[in-house]
Amino acid sequence: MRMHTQRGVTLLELLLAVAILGVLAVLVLSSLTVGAKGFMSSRADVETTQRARLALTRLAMDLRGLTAITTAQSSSLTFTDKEGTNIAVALADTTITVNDNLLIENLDSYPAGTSLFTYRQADGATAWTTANSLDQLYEIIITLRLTRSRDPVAGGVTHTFTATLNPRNTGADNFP
Amino acid sequence: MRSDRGSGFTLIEIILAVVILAAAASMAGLYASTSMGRGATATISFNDELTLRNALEDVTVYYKGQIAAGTMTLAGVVAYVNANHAALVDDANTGYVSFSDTDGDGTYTPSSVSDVYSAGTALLVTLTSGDQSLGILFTE
Repeated sequence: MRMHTQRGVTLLELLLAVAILGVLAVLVLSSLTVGAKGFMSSRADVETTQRARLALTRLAMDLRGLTAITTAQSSSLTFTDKEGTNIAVALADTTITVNDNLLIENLDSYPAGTSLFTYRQADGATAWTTANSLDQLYEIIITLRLTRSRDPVAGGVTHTFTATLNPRNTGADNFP
Repeated sequence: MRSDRGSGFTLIEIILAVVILAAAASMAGLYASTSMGRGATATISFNDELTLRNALEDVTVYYKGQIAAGTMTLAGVVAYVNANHAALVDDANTGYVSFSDTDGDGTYTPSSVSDVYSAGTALLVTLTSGDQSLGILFTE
């Protein structure tokens, strides 16, 4: 009869195995974390883009048909739309409101040289103000600076979206 | 009694295991970094779209202004587009096209673009930004 010596695993071998598994687990989990962060970052980008698209589409539709402007500031604009309704768009803190209804939130601050609304005359360079006639208003440039909601990146990321639109009812090369 | 030799791993086996693990880890890393790197695609696409729409707005206004002034020529539109939006113009797909119903099924298909103007042709302007492109037809 053969002696059946039962060889177990030594403590050293066990510790070694646990250590190797631990190192592997850390490696795998850290790459999973990168993937998860990538997903959250993409989601934040898509959400931000969608918010910008909605706000810009809404503003562009209304502004293209404007028939009069009473105030034209860099962060606020009051105009009359083609149905004769007065519409006030205002940037306060980090939100834009249209007639006191929320249009979009989570805006970043505007550093010097940038603004929500920029008004131009037909040469594309001269600023337009309400002192000029409406016929000279050639284009309105809307710049949205949005921070991402639920941003996975520390410190946050700001996306800038710019839409240029030419009001149709003014005389500066614009016709309905 | 059984001889106990050869119970450990050979060097080859260990090297093989390390190489396989490294390959697996680098693949996982590649997938993860792709999801990070391409996360902003939606934003970039929308910015490309805005760039094209802004250019479309500008060219349309010029076109309508020229019509109203009675001075519109398609050559003038081409010149305006090239002068103001040169970076966006897709030259290979910008030019004069004519439409014809060759097989008589009621569907008019455009000819290939040509640089030569002739009366009755339309002007196709193709603008590209990123991986998006926008074709605009101008007629007299």
